[in-house]
Amino acid sequence: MPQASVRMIPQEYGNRGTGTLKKQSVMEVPNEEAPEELADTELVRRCQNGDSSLFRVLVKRYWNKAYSIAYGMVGNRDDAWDIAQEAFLRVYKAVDSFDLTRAFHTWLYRIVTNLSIDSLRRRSLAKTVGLDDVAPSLPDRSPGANSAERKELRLRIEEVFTAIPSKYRAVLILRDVHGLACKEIARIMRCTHSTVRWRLHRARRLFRELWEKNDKRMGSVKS
Amino acid sequence: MSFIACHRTKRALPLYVGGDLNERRATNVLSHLEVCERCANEASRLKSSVDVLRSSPPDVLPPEDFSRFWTELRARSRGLAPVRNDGATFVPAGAPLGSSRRLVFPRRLAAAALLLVTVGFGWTLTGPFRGETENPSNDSVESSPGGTSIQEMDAPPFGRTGVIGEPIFVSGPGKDESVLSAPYRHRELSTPPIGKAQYAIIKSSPISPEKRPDGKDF
Ligand SMILES: [Zn+2]
Repeated sequence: MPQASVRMIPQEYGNRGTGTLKKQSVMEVPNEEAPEELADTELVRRCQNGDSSLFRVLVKRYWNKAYSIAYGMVGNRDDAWDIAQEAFLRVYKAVDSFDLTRAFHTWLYRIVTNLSIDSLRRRSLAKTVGLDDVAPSLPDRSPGANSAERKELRLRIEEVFTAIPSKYRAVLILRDVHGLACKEIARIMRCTHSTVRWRLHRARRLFRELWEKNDKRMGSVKS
Repeated sequence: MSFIACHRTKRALPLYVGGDLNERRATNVLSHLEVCERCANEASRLKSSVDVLRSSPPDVLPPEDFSRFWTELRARSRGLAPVRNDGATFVPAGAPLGSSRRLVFPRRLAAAALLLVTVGFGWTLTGPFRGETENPSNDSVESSPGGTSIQEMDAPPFGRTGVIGEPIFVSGPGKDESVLSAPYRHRELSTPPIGKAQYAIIKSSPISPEKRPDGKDF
């Protein structure tokens, strides 16, 4: 049994005013804590122990992040939705083999990133990449999405991203859009810290170059 | 300004503008930028493109879409999750933490009742032998109140099966591709822990083209 599974948490008992705090294993006190309050590891551990109803809490915690990373990668809302769905299915299927000493979100994001890269690969193999294909299939429904400026910015970023190879795109999305640390990205992408930094270096240069080209083109279109 | 100092600074700029250099290196870059207009110009162009990404909020879905997401996920898990209909592969839910354990018995009872009804029905229609050799169809169990899918297909090679959020069924270990991304905790599985796997790959592969020629950290 991994050590994390015997996590001790203080539980307050109804001592009628004495306020004594006792330590007791969560195994002995089921459902005292609201599931939403539980840490990822604890939720996974309980799922492994058979309470798969708690899987919903994990999904609720990460569904939008998974979708958002996938959308950044593939630039298509239908595909991003499917990737997020598939990622949770895989997590569910393999939850019993999850090592509780590791971070759940790192695992989830790795699956999302790999599925996104696969999706892009399939798309490029099918030679169907074109701006029409990567244009958003559903309307952007994020908060504040209706501003024209934001819409334009989004489209431009997506357009530039289509010209960036997926492994560089992934580090840009994880680091600059979602603010994850390079070490965390290394765990997600299963590469070394220095590889992540090198990819980030190249990715930012590439993005800058393409963004400036796009800027010039937009300027010439407007004038 | 020396060519070498400019060259060194330019190489450090993409990480510098994102705040990804350690303090010592960042200070070195900064002191160069204060005296070199060309590098400072380059830095500001890079910084503005990084700011574009950082200031653009990620595309997210409205919270009310969650119920659709969850419903669809459960529906998909039904298709994904063929489970054996023999009680032997069912893994009881360990410690009685959640509600799922309590649901186990009525569901199994319902499945058994449906099995009896199906077998009995088959027997009356087609004779004793066919009724005995067939498993209950998926449909007959799908209609049970719990909705637990029980199919006569073989169990998948590995992993948890069953409708998401419902009592679990586990089949034996194997090498399903989709599961290999999970960091394993089971020793019997052939995939070594991440650290060792990475080490083996690094050791066996030629020098990555992504490494800096001098092998230094960027
Ligand atoms: Zn300079």
